[in-house]
Amino acid sequence: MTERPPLLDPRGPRFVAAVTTVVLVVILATGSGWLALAQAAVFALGALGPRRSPYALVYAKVIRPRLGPPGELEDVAPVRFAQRVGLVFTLAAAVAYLAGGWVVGTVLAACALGAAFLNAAFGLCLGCEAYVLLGRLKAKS
Amino acid sequence: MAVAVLAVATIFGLVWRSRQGRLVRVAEAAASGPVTLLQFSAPACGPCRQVRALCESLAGPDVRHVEVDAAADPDRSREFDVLRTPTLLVLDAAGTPVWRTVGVPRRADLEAALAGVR
Repeated sequence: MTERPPLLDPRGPRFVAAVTTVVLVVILATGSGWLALAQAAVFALGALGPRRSPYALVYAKVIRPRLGPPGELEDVAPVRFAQRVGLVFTLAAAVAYLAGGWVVGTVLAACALGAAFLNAAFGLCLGCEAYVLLGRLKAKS
Repeated sequence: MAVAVLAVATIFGLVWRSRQGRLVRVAEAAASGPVTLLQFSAPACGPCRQVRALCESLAGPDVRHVEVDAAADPDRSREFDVLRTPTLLVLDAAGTPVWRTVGVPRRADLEAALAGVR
């Protein structure tokens, strides 16, 4: 390890995933390309840094002050990568919906919903798992 | 549609959670003697800390705890086919992995596994 990685209160990303889950349910129910585009923008901010997500700001301002200190911390890099994966899926879903490709948009939004829900409900971050696996593959080659 | 996705994800999540920390037997213990708890961790991995505390509390004269940074030691990660952290291996005296788990095992399960290997 060369330098200590930045750390994150893991409850922040869980909260972000919970809000994202609700938004994606609405996207799936309405087929709204514009809402998918808005969620893609949220992911884009989160991809810059998990604390920059608007949902994370709500967590930091409103929820975090009411909670005790976190029992554990997690690495920022996998969370940031997961936000990028979310960005790709929701942006593609937005483009598909706006272009009239309802089926493609639905499939993409459904994938994003499944991943967001697993993170929110079970603490299983598929994007983070993918990040670790990719890192391992890179180390192998 | 959304309901179907949530239902499938719930089933997937429940299966995933039930598998977390479950010890799996990978070989019969061939050699008796001191046991090694080989832990693969990552920096800033919360569950790794829990596994470390558990292993340290079980360590003693005939139970050694060794922790490896999986990313910093790719050779060893490859040798033991480690893809996720925390992965914990129970090695017998000959260094053969006998038990394996991903996630935080329950103390009683790990104690039972150790008793069988020693």
